[in-house]
Amino acid sequence: MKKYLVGYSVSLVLLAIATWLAISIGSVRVPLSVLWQPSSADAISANIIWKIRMPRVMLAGLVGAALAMAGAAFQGLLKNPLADPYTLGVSSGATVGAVMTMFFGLTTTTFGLFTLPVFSMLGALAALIAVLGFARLVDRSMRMETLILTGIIISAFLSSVISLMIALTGEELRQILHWLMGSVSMRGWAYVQLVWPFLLLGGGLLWWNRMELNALLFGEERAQYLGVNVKRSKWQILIGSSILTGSAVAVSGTIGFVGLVVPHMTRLIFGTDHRHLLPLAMINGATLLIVCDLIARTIIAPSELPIGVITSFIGAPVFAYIFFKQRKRG
Amino acid sequence: MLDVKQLTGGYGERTIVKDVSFHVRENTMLGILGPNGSGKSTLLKMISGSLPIKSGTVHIAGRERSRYKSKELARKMAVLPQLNPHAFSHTVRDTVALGRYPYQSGIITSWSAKDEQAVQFALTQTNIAHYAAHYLSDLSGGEQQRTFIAQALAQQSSLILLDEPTNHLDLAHQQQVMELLRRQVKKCGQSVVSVFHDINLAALYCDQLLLLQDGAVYALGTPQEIITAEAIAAVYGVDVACFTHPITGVPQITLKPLTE
Repeated sequence: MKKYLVGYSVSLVLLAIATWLAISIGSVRVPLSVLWQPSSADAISANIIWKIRMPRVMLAGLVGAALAMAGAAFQGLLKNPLADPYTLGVSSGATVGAVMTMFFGLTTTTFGLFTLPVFSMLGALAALIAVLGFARLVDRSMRMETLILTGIIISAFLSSVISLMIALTGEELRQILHWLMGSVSMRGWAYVQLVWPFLLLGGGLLWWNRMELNALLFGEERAQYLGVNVKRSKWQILIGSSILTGSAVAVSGTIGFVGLVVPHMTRLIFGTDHRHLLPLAMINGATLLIVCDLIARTIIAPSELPIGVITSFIGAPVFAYIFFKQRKRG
Repeated sequence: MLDVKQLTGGYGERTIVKDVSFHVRENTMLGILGPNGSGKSTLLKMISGSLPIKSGTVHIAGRERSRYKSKELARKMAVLPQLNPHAFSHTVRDTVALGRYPYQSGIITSWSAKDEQAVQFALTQTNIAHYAAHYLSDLSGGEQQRTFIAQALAQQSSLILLDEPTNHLDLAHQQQVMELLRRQVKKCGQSVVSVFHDINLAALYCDQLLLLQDGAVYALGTPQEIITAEAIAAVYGVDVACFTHPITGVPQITLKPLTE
C-alpha cells in the first residue's frame, strides 16, 4: 500500500511541476505569479496564460490521460504489451471518422459540437472490431505479432482512405494535414470542454472494469471461472477505450505511442493491478504529453514541431525494446 | 452436488464426449481417468461451461448450470484449468485475492474481514504464504499451480473442478495437494471432480473413479471396482499388474516390462 502512496504522490508532484513549467515557458516567459498577484501583472501576460497556455496545457494533459488509459486497457484485455491505440490502428479509425465528418461537412443538430468526437469514436470502434475480427480469423490464439501486424494492415488501408479524402477536399487540405500530424496548439477552451466529458465516460467504463481487467490477464477462460461476465466486460472495455481514443483524436489528431510508453513504465514500477495501473497511467499520461508539447513548441522556436514527432521519437525505441524483451522470453 | 446427465458434445462439429452421466454427492472426490484423447479435459470443459453442450444437462446444487449468473456460479463452482503462460503477471497474493472476485460488487472495492480470512486460509493451506509478494512469472510451474489452487480455495465454492492438478508438481507437493483436497472434501464438505493422468494417485485419494474410453463411460465406481488389470488393458491398451496398496489396501497398478 505504501508503494502506491509514494507512486501517487510522486506522479502528482511531477504533473504539477510539468504544468507549472508548461504554463510559464514559451515564446513569452510568464511568471505564474501573475495569476494571484494582479498588482504585478500586466493584462497581456494574464491573457497569454488564460487564453493560450492554460487551455493548451489542459488539452495536452487530457489527451495524454485518455491515450494512456486506453493503452493500459488494450494491453490488459489483449494480454499484449505492444497494444496501444496507435499500434492497433484504432487511432487511424478515429481519424477516418473525424476526417469524414469534416469532408462531408457533417454537423448534425443532435450532437451539435460533439459531432466530431462522436464520429471519431465510432471510427475507432469500427477499426477496433475490424482489427480484432481479422486477427482472430488469422490466428485464434491472437499472438502478439498477429495483432500488431493486423493493426498495421488496417492502418495502412485507412491512411489511404484519409489521403484520398484530403486529395478530394483541396482547399481545406492544409488545416486537415496539420491536424493529422497531431497537435494541441491553438485549440482553446472549447476543445477542453469537448474532451473532458468523454474522458470521464470512457475512463469511468474502464474503472468500472478494473477487477475484470485483472482477472482477464489470466485469459478469458480463467476469468469466466472467477465469475467475470466475459462478454459484457470485453464490450465495456472496448467501448470505453474507443471513447477515450476517439475523443483524443478528435481534438488533437494522431499522437502515437503515448498509450504504449506510459502503461509500460507504470507497470514496470507499480505492477499490473489495474486498480492502480489505470489511475497512475492517467496521471503520468497527462504529465508525459504536457512535457512533450512543451518540448515540441520550444525546441525549434519560434516554429513548432508536431507533438507526434516527439512522442514517436520516445515511443518507437520503447516499442522496439518491449518487442525485443518479449521475444527473448518467449 | 453435481449432476451430469447424458452429456454429449465437443469442438465444433466433432463430437468428443458421448452420452456421459454421473452424479457427485457432497464430501466426495471423483477422479476422471482415461488415456490421451479420451475426452477427459473436454468433459471437464463442458461441465464448467467453457465448451458448449450439444445435448444433455449439467445441474449444480440442484440448478441447471446455464441458469446461474456469472458471479453466482463462481461462488458455487471453482475451476482450475491446465496451467498456461501469460504476458503480464500479478503477485501471488493478488492472484489468490482474485478468487474473492465473485463476492465483490460495486464501484468502490470492498474487502471484508471474511475476504481476508479466506485468502489467508488459502495461502497457508497451499503453503505459499511466504511467496505472497512474489510475481507469478518469477515462480516455478509447481509454485504457480499451487497459487491457482489457492485461488480456487479462496473462492469457497462447494464444488471444485480440476484438470490434472498434480502436473508440474514433485512427489512431496503432489502429496500435499492431494491431502489438501481430501481435507477440503472430508472436513469442509466440498466436492471435487478432477482429471488425473496418474492412475495410482487417483486410486489412492478418490472416492469414486470414472473411466473414459473414446469419450464414453467405460466404468464408474469405487477404486476397488474400477482398477482391475482387465479394465486398464481394455481402456489404455497396456498389460499391467494389479496389487493392493500395502497400507490402505486400495488397488494400484504397475507396468509389466515387455523386454527382460
